[in-house]
Amino acid sequence: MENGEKKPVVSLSGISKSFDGHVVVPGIDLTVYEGEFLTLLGPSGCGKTTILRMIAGFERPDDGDIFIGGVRVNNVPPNRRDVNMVFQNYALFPHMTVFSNVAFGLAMKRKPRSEIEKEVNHALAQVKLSEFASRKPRQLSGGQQQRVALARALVNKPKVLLFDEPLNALDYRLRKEMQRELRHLQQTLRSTFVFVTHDQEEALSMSDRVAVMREGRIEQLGTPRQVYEEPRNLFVASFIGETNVLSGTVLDILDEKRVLAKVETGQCALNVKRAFAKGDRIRILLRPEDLRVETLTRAPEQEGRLRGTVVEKNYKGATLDSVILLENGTRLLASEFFDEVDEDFDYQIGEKVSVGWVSSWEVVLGDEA
Amino acid sequence: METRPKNRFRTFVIGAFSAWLLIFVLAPNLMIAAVSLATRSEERFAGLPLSLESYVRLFDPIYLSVFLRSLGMALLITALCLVAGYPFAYIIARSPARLRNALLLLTIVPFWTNSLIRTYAVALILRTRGLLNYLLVDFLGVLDKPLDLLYTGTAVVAGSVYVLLPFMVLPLYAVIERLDPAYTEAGRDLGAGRLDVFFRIVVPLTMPGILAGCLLVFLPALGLFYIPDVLGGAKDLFIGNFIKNQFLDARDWPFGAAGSVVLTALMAVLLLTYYLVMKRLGEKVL
Repeated sequence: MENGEKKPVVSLSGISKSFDGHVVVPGIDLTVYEGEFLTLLGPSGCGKTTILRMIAGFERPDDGDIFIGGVRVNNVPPNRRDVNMVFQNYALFPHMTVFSNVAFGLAMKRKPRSEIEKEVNHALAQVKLSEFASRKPRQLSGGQQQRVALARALVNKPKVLLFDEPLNALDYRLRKEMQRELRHLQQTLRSTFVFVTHDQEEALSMSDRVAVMREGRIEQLGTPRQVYEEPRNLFVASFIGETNVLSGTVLDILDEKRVLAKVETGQCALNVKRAFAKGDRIRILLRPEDLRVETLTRAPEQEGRLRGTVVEKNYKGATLDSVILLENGTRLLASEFFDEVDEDFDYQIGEKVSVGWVSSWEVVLGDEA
Repeated sequence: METRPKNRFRTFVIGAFSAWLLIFVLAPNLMIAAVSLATRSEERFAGLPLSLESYVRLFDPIYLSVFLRSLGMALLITALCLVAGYPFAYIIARSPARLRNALLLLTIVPFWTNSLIRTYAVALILRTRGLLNYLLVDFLGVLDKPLDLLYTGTAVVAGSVYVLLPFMVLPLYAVIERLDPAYTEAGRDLGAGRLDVFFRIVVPLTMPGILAGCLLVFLPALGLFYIPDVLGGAKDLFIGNFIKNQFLDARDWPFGAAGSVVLTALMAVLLLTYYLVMKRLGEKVL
């Protein structure tokens, strides 16, 4: 494992949690390593926030142990845990100035006044809010409040910073900007971030590792690239980005890494990562940008391509997205880039095409996944 | 359009309410103010010539001490209501939804009984051969002889706190219930213990409710007259008793009216202060 030599900061072992008899987290293990940006990604209600709240100490696990910095903290109240959280709606104290908000944590540690002043000013400078120190939170914009919340957490230099969907309330552009800033800050400070979100784009662009969650379980834990390019199952594949799911049957085993299969309406050789037997039903995952579409008039039919009809097309600026209806009724989404080879290709609605893909970019899963 | 009948209804409601205030609030107060400037008259209660004599008489040290005693009593009652009402309101606000409504109902139900009757009920509990002494002496055997509770200052304070407590609990409940738990969690997350969270976060954020509750208890506490009569045995004189006595027993209407005007003016000043403080806190006034 690439994180093998790194130091674990937070470890969850066999953690489970129910509310009113409803199991939210059925028992998970998770290790967060020093200096990494780990994102818990999943649809709402998948238990990601509950996990974060258990690390912070607001919820107690029914079972299992939580370690922070190697110490079991199950019975340690939130105020004695060396972690800080950035809340979803920031939870800035409305009756305090920005300065007092940021100073709160240090004041609770009974640090001397001069030191508090120095640290708070430093933290406010880090988030570019120095001139707003004497304002009240309600006098700030959403983005500025977000920065105060961030400064209030990082000024304490916790072992781990926890983020509970903190960018949800921001508009698209501000959100993108904050994503870049957060990532930049995390890399400069070399601090450990655990970030909760349901936004897959956010997760992919910021994280070192992403844990894709469903119903309290971690479906896949890996780098953004791994979860995008090698999704372990259909849920991960369809939750992260657009995916075409084709069904097929193994016809023959070509060698260890290749099988011949019937895929929808055609036959093709597929690259596989695990062993399949003749007759196995399989699913083939293809990202829209992996598909290559040719008009039948321009390129005569080739082996291993699927025939279909263009039924929809959307010009997206950098790409042309088209929906292709295969002869058996399966719909595929293709997203092709305009490049130097083919600057201005276009399709007519109703045009007959054949669809192929870049060999070995397909992900083949068993039918059960 | 739907707006015409709605507007007519609105005009009617506002009109009726204004008329009510005019006839039953403004007019009596003006009459009181007018009477306070009159002189005592044997056959017509109040008459000419106009004079400020009643106000001058109020500055007698005897009446000043009545005033100060009432003020002290009202402050004590308010403080006790706050100390008892805050945890009460907090527990209700943080209970599960179903229990919360039941507890709120229990807080409000006593309102449905006339408070004079409830005061007599308290007297029944507190008197020498009352429920409390029966419990302590005969039933539990904690004491050898019954406590002398009725007709003491303690009884007056206890009865007043009992009658006025809901006025403290309800506004407090309203602010505590609206308090986002994320604030207390953020406080805990930043290293604050429970006491720090309470005094640095919860109290400042619920200050509007604290002020409103204190005002709602303090103002009626200042004017109480039947509780000192029934539970205190009319031993100590408070502003409320003084005013009542002047009107009903001494038949000196101008003097009683002057006391009433001074009390009303004091309350107005308090309300104005409350309004200004709330405006500074940036809160909507009740």
